[in-house]
Amino acid sequence: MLLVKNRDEKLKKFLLVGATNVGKSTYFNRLTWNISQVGNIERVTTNAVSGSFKKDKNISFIDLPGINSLNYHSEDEAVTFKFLLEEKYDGVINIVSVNTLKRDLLLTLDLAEAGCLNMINVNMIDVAKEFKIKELALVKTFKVHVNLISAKSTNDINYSLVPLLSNNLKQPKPLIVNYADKIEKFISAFEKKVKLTNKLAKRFIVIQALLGNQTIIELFKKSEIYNDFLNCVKSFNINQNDINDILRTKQKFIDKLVKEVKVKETKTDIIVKFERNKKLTYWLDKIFLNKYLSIPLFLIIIALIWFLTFYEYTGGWIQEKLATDGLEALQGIINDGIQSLNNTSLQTWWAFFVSDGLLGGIFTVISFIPWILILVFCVSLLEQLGILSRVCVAFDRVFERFGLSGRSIVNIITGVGCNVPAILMAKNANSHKEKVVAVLVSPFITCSARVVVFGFLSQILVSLEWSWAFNFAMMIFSIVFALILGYFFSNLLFRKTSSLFLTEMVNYHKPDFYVIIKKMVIEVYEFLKRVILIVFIANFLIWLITYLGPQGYLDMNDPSAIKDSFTRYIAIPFQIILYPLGFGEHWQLPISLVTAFPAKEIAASNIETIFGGLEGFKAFASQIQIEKSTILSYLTFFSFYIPCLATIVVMKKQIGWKYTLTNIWVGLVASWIASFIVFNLSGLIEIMFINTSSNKMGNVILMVLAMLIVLLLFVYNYNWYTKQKDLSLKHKKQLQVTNYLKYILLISIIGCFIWSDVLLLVNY
Amino acid sequence: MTKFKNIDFEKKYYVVGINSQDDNFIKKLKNIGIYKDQTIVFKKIGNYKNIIGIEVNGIITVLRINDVTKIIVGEKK
Repeated sequence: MLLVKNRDEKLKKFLLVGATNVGKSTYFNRLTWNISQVGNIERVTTNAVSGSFKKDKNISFIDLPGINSLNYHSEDEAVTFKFLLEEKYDGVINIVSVNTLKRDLLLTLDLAEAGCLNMINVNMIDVAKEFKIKELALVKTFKVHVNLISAKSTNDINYSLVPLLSNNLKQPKPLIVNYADKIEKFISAFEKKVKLTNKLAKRFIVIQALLGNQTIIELFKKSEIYNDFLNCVKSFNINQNDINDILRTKQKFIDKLVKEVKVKETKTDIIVKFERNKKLTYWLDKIFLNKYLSIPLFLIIIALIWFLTFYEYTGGWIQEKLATDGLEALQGIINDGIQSLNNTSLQTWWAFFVSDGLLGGIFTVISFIPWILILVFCVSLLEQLGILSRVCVAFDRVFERFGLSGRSIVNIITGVGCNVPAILMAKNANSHKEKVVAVLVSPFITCSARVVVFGFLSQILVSLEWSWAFNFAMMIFSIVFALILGYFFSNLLFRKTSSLFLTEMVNYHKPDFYVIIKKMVIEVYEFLKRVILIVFIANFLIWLITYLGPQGYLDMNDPSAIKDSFTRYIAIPFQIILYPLGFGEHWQLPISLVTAFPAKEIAASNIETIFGGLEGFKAFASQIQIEKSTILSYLTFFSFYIPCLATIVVMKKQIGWKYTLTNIWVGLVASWIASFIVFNLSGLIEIMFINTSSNKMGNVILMVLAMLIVLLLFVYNYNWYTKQKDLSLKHKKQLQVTNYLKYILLISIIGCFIWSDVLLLVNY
Repeated sequence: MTKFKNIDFEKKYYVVGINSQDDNFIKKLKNIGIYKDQTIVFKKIGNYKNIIGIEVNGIITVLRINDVTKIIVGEKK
């Protein structure tokens, strides 16, 4: 997702403004080369996205977040209003949907009153089966161009742009709606005092100030007319009823207009088809809004996506073919070319540099492209069908207990593609608490970068046939982990506030494959950009410090020489910290985690560079007897330990340094604990069913006991929260102290385990 | 005034007021068109008991029942 960067004065800029889920982004994606996030659920676009017009580079379109009226109520809506107020633009195209005309025209009325409405596009005309739209009524009222379009049809879009391309856009005049006498007198008295230099009509600005528009109030405060405004309100005796009257007048205006615009059709074949579609919606809702079926069905759908992506005869097969027949063959040709050089020392150095440092890691990462393509395709399809709003309802019961609302499932699904848009989407949360908690938990969801590393390393743990199931389990594990941390963040940072669930029930839509394919192409492009820029540099540095040591260049043909490299020394402090997790003993794994900080894919390419591929890693694991529990522990820690660089930057922008640093330290501690539990628990399973000679038996028994205690504490803790509603403040405070004591007890138990492993480390 | 237990789904009601001190909640409701004198219709959402839909201006918005009870409604005259 690209933010608006281009501020070139010569460019003609047109803003796409409309209520939520009316198809602004679909329209934008057809018009421009850029892509804006599309989903059949409200509030998908959370930032202004700019793109050049396909047919004329001098025209750019800016897709703004959905806004129901210019008197905005959320952060993403504020983006749109501030854009209209502060930025320079050549015209505003208002998109309204046939399905939600009554709501959408409220915004149209606001834009017309503000004097910045140039064109109205009535979208989704293809689904208006039971009524006709009389666009002339709209033209007569708003005195602008009105087009009836389907944003999915290229012909309709070209037709809608005729007035725009022929420079035939009318200069809008503000529409005057007559309000109650008292309000009108107030407007004419105060209007003269407003001296703001922006495009919006002064009359409209005064009305917005009365309605409590925060941006306008701030502007009044800056231009020192806020006190005059308050005095004027007092002198005209304007109260809440008068303000509500403004809203009622607007609503009456729209009700009257809608009656003229929407005309009922007589029963035709098209209406019969529409009624059939309605029946289909009814039956689909019976399934997806069933409280017993909805969650299992959703989990089956996600499992199916993972199956398609990783199964050995689907995505796994394509990845294998690309890796072996394509990239490995290409690497072989390059190596043969280098070996044909005569100089032996130069030949060895070049061969290692090109094969391991330059190409090895990058080719490994590039071979994951089929997985990313399938994953993005399936997730985009899910986003567009309209199932997500139903899934939100189903998950609300679960998420409410963890301090989140059902809408957070949208962040989770988006986070599977990449955590960055998931964090941006949290902006539209219903409360500040939900926004912060959603941003804090989003980085723990398994993203496509981590999925490819799981796909790569899972082949050591399970057979290729079951790789998809393992990855699916890791995905579910990441959701559970994020929910537990969500509960922790909610209680740590916002103890007194509860979450608010409020979501729009959208219609089911046919997916727009043009947008899905465009999104897949852009996702691969972004992936390759990351690989070439970050993975290449990180990989090359790893390769360099692996074959360099205090004594100088190391013998590249001698694998044992690596123990004298710089890498070995850099890894020591990380080895000490990670030793209790099972994989700190071997420097290769901690170092791959440290260098994977800029982009998670690096972990896979590092394994390629350090071990010489998956086979090399397998050989290394069997040689020094790395247990499966160690690899599982490594994957758990890798999954949650720290967000990638891009995620941290976006997170800081959204919630500030305080919460971002909280996320990092909590993530590090929680991933350490989770990894420790996974290591010891899987160790217990190994001892019980595979190998009885392990020396970790005592540790494991203690571990199980501690888990039982933690479980009991959580049950007790839950009861405490349910009881506290009926208690007085004094008792609540006492119980809060008890609650803190429980956390201290929990930390002490974990501390005991750490100590036991420190002793092991000292012995080692 | 109509008590919530006696609410009929699919019947038109008008909003009498919002019984909440939470400005954010009132703002959110205003944004979806729920304010004094506005006509609303309660909708059953699947077989959920804790979730209710409210139709305003042709759009169904889903809310938790705890929040819906804060909306005081009267029968349409």
